Amino acid sequence: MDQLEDLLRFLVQGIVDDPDSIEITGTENGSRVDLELRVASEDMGKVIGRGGKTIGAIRKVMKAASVKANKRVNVEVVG
Amino acid sequence: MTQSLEFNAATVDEALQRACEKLGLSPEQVSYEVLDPGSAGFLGIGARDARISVTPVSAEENAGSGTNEIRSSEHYAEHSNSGAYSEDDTAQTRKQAASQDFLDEIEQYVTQTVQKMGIDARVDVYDAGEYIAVDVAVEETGLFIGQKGETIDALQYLLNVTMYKNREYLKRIVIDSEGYRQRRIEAIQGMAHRTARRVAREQRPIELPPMSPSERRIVHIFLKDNGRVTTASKGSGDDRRVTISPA
Repeated sequence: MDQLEDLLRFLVQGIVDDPDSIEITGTENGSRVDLELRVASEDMGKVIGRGGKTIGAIRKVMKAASVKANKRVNVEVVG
Repeated sequence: MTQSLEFNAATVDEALQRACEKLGLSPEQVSYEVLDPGSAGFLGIGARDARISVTPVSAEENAGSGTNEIRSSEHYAEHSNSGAYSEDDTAQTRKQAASQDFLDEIEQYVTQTVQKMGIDARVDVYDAGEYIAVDVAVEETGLFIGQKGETIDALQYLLNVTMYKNREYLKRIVIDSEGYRQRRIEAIQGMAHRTARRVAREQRPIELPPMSPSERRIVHIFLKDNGRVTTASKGSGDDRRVTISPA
């Protein structure tokens, strides 16, 4: 789970203006990993992207990484 | 708050490219409206420039609903003739070379991402003229590319957004692995060719499966000179697809 959190933080850092405000809470339940992502309110739009395109791309990269780690990851942006 | 500017050129794509260069923004960072699609005229008679109105957008403003009147810049990616099929790839559109620092930064980002994904990889970045090429050699190619390229495309999208966040837009950054892009182009062209033949034979339109802007572009360009069919993209978002119709 730490590795998935680390990857999520890295990807989000590149997109937002305020990387210090990134907060990630992870819960692990068997092979399922839920990651809750919080960013500065001004950065919400950037993380989600036009029509959800950016968060969609983040989820796809996270999914590939979780498959590799034999996990199922779920990323939610929390406002 | 945001103001729009008008640009014109021979085609909508060229106008958009000109606008992006002028504003120092990537096609992802602008919305535009086609004021006049322009016309090539007939034998040069009646030719008219395409005119577009361009508005710089920040991600926030666009996060919610996608308006339909303002066309997203995906059209640019879809119809611009960059790459192997370029016709008007003249000196005028030649792009400035990327600095070594920039290439290094790209390499670092991709290397770190792939490493954090738990994948062993060797990353090679170079300026290919029209675009910046990132070649990733991995053991688990299938995992890195994903179904129909969804992983490699997602990473490529994030890479472009991240690299051009605080930098003037230069050119597209393209990630490839084990010749995937070329294989995918050939597969799509094959499908376009077979479908076009069927459309012409059966004289009825046929829809292709949903594809990304760059993949739809391959279909449009491949069938551009086929006099028996026409192509058009319909639908929105992930469901947007090309319909091939009898001419």
